Amino acid sequence: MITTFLFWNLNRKPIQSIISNLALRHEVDVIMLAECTIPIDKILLALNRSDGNMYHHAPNSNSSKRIKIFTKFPREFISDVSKQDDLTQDELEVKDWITIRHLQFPGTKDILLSVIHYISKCSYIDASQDTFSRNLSDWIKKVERRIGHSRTILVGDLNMSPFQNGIIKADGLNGTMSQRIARRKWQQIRRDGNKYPFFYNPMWNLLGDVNSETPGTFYYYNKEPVNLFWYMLDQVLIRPDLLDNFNAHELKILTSDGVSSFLSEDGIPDDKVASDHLPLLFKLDL
Amino acid sequence: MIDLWPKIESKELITPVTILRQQASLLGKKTKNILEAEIRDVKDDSGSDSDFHYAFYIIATALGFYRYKIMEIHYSMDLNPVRIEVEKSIYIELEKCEELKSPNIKFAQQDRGSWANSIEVNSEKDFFEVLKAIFGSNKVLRVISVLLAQSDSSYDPSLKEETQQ
Repeated sequence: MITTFLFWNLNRKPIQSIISNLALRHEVDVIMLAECTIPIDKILLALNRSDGNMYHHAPNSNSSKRIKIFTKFPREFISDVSKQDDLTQDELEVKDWITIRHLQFPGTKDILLSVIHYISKCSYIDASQDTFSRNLSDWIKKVERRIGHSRTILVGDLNMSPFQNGIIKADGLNGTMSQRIARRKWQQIRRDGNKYPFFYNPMWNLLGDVNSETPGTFYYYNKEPVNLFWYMLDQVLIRPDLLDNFNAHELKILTSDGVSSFLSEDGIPDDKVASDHLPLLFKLDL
Repeated sequence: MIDLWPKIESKELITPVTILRQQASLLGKKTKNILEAEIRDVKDDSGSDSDFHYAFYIIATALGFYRYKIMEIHYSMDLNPVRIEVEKSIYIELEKCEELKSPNIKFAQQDRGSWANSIEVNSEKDFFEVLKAIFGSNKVLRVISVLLAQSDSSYDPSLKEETQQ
């Protein structure tokens, strides 16, 4: 069963009809929204404006209120498993940023969907983001042990680039650009002997403008001497146990809903039309 | 090993809870899932002699999933009779319904608490009639109106008008 996922940081914009257009155009099954201040009823009215599949709001019961999730499936199939009563003090630091859902569609492989809106560079320096990524990783691993598998997707606004330490370091998210390396499942580093499970990070394939219409998902220019201009802050990371169910060629940064372009004439996100972030679309064959 | 079981054929039976689930799914369609309905299996510690006991709730998904119970049903393996319990105000409305004036539909109002007002039916047809009356009752329609109105954020001045080219 092909399941289609959409993630978007809305930057508090009331763009529910654009979300609805995307959902219809791409037949999205699970919609994940960050910085969404649109009331639930407005989103539901927009998503369910036409006959056919109906979307439900799947609220976060134990986790971040910063993320909103809507799905065509009954919400019992996408339960919140982000228990907070077994978290360490360090792990509690991250509880407001992430929701972890157990997707259990009948007749298919169950997976863990971790949706995140990570701490921002506006409030935290890179070194702090890198430090907290360990807490984030530990919490994800804790849930994986509790559920009993590591078929996990991490998606959201990570507010870090794929090459930032918080994403690549072994005791952080351990996100590698290579599927072959990710399929090793884990790495051991010198000194501590621990096994650190990999994530595969397909976003590396979309950096630059050869494989993607835009070189990233967020544009920022501050006129400083060192400037990336484009940042890949919104990402999808996949555990190796799900690699056979994921086609990296179907991962896309979307620039239009078929009605309006999300980009200005300069080719950068136009927050007068949509958000200052671009949405991500990906699929899993479960 | 000798198989002593006869040939087991599954017959197409529509149980009362199946009927309720079908109706529950329709409420979401009518309200764009702003309201949904849910059937819950009631863990019955009251010593009821029913094999099956379910509660029917209307849920406001935009109001923190606030739940309002509309009815409970009880029945046994025979599937009939079905005892339907509703709150007093709905019960009083249903007692006056012409469509429910049938010897096969028994009303039994109790004095203890507002949730012991029961209607007993002995056929699928009568069950449908009672459900239709409950869903169309003034009380249920008022609950739906209020929940929809409470869920409506139209008057939030902090929302900007959306513009699209």
